[in-house]
Amino acid sequence: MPASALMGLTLLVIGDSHLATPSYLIGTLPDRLVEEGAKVHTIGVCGTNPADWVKPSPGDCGMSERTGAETPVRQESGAKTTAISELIAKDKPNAVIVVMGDTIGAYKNPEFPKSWAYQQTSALTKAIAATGTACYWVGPGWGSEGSRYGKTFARVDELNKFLSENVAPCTYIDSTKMAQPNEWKTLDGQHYLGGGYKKWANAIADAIISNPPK
Amino acid sequence: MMRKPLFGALVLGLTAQFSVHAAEPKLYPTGPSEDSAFIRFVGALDAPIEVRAGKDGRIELAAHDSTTWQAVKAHSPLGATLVHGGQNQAVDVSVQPGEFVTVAALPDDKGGWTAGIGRESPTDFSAFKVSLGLMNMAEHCSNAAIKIAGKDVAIVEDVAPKGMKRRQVNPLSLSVDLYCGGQRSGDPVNLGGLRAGERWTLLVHPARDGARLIPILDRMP
Repeated sequence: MPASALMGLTLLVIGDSHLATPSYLIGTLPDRLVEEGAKVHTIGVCGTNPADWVKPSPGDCGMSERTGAETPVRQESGAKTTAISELIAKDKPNAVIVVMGDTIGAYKNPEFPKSWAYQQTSALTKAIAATGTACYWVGPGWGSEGSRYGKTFARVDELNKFLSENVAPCTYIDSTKMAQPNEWKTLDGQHYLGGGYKKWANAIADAIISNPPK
Repeated sequence: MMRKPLFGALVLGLTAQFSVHAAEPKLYPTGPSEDSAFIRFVGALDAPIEVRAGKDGRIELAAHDSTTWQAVKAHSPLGATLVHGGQNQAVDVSVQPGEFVTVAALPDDKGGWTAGIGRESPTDFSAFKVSLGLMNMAEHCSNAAIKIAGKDVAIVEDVAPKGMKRRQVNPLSLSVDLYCGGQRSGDPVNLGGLRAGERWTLLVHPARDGARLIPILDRMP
């Protein structure tokens, strides 16, 4: 059996609420990456936007951090990002995996705020690129419509198109290609039930394995 | 590029005066309730200018230099004063959500200078392409166009005075000629090697013998 493309790599995973609650993606993605032989450090700060990771910024709804496949540590108050440059300097990862998109969807705004989103995404990709570290950007999946967050499939599609065009040099991973709308059931329109997070984690890992960091 | 320490003071001045767009909502669901608004200043003169805003905000811009884009509160009246050669030009603008406003000190065709305002609401953001915009601030330059230098190949054309057009091109090395009313104006302008993700504004301004082009690399905050 050939070695996994991730064997021996160090991966840093950052993101928003999907990585900030232990039963969400932070509970499934690191497991799979570790199984593939990677050393993994995962941090999720709920509610953060991409530019919040350029310099330390507060998160208003908690955070979680996980080393490898150890139990995630949830912090309810005092949540704060760490600057990506500092994380990269400390972890020296072969690649950064950014899981972010729902926080910039502005789902309740009838217009997608492109200029703001451009500022947000370019700030983070430039900060990562400045370190010369490879990166992947995982966009939002379909979720479900009609929830309290106002997520719609049309906006998710628009958001994924925007991100796919604007996160280079990060490699974009389009989560809407991994399932049909409504296929992964959600708690609240945005956050998946456990089965969805398991499938999402595997699909993300497969996408990285098929195009590993150079 | 000459960036004086005064830049920080200008930002602070703008912050104090205009409530710079700093307080984004943090809780889910996030994303702002309206798009961001941006302003920048350009010194299109052959000599430095000073930009003053608020109580203490001031910055010196070198000849043909620009500030980064600065996020500001949309819909709010913004005031600034451009200073050069003992002459002041007061400018009052309001920026709409999604809009990028350029305030420039421009030479006029009589040897003096004036203030100009250019507006755009771009949607062509891309990390793979280069965006070239032609912003026409020369009143007498009708149907402004840029062509590949020495060739009859238009990149952007038919830009009326006070108008603005953009188009995406692939990353490449490029020199361009400015045309006004079908006639070439000035020498070719070498933009160098354009890189993917860059956004450029080619500012057309009046000159004693026609119009000239100043290339500005758009820089986000």
